[in-house]
Amino acid sequence: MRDMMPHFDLYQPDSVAAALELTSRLDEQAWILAGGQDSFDWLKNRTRRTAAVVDLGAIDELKGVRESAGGGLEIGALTTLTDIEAHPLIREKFELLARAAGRVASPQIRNAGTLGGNLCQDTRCWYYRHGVDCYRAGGNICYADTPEGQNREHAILGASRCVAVSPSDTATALTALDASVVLRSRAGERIVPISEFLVGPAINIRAMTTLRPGEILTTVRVPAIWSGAMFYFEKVADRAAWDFALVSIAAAFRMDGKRVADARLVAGAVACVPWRLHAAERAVVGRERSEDSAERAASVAVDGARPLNYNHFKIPLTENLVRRAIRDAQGA
Amino acid sequence: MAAQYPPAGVELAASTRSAAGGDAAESHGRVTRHAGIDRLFHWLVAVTMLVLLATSLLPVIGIRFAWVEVHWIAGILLSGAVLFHILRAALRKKLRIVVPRPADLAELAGARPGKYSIAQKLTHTAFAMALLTAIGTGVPLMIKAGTPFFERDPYRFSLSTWGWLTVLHDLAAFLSLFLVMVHMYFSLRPEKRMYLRAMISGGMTRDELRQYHDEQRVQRGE
Repeated sequence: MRDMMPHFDLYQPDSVAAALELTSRLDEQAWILAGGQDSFDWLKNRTRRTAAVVDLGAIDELKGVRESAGGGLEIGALTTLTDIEAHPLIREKFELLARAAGRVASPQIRNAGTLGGNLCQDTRCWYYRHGVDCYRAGGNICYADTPEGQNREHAILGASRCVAVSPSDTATALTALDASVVLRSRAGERIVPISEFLVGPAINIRAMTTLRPGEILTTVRVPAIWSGAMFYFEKVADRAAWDFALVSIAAAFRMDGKRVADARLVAGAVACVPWRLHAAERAVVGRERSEDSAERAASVAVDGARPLNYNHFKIPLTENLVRRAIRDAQGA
Repeated sequence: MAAQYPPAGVELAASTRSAAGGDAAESHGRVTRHAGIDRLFHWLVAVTMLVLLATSLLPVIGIRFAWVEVHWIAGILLSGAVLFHILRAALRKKLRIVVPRPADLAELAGARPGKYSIAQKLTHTAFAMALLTAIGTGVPLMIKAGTPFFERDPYRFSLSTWGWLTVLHDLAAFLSLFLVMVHMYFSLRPEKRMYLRAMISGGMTRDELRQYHDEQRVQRGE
């Protein structure tokens, strides 16, 4: 059964305007398809069903990377992860994003998967993906956060009833780069900081983004402020290839001589959204990058963490990644 | 038997007690209707209930924010206030003063009520039922929501028990919403506004007491 796609009406618009017309008309019935790497799981497994799929793949204006007037970048939401990993402008200015995109899944998936799809993908909590009636699926139980729940991959921070984590590697990097997303609908355009675009269960337990019915993520904007900074990205997973993060770290440092003038330290897969480690950032700003400052930052990085039965390991793992990020970050 | 002055259940405000004596002084004097501790309880309950209703209902209509922690913290404050209120009323043997009794039906024929009218007693009873149900179901629901007080365990009860707890909690919430709306409406009606003033300042005038209440029933603690 899993090899067969269920029936649905397929729409393949060739412009954003046509896509918005469709999403407006179909409203909540429209399943928006980008690279399909997340969608096909849901649909083939029959865990979710839809009457209509709007495939954005033929819309060329949603693809490509452009330099914006201020020196930042505008990246079309349908740009593939392979293109992002290899794009010279991204590698020159925001190596962090290129490295994160290059650590997503496998080459085959990166060839088809898009930046927008990677940002909007649903969580990998297997209770939820299996189709149980958990909070995120509209029920009123979290099966992962129980005395017997299998929660090795789940959240240690920011949980609220649901303990699923964000699986997106690029979201972690883009949060560190203070990026924003452009969301278009027939009603107009919204530009939302990525930190507000991605939401945790305390805000909305049924969705991982603030994307509304009828809206399409068209562009990711990366401002110039972190262009050419020192970056570090590391993803720890059970397998080096084709696996989701157990914990990842995206870091950016702007230097003033030998001292850190500003810093971003963002942990992935520890919460339902990329989790900025504010205390660790404060611990390193104004100091030299050294073993001492790395230790200082690591010691406060996950204050307030609430590990579940099987994921206590994420605390020392996150602390070690913070140490390594501060110690080993490199310039472009 | 001559009427006791001030009657039981109605205390003269300290500021007017020394002036009480003549008819004019009595007719313009103020009588205490709610002690400070009772008013504090009322407004604490009011604030916590509004917070509880807002945190539970606003997300349902699409206004999304982090509501869970605020909700259960307000719930604990409300529970503490209600427990204190019940204990205080029990210790002072005042539990029956707000319980509707057959004698209250005489008000339907035009008789004046004691301290509380039958409508106020029924409202209080409905509020008590709603709040006790919400608290009684809300405490076990905290086991599932995840709070510092309990180890989170959604298997503590059966699915059907959780279902009943949730349904009863939600019904209590909707009853509370209805009662709050009714209560606020009547508290703002011109002819009832003295009760709102009394809940703010603590007292009402003796004229108002005589006009709307039966002093002898008040004296008997009804």
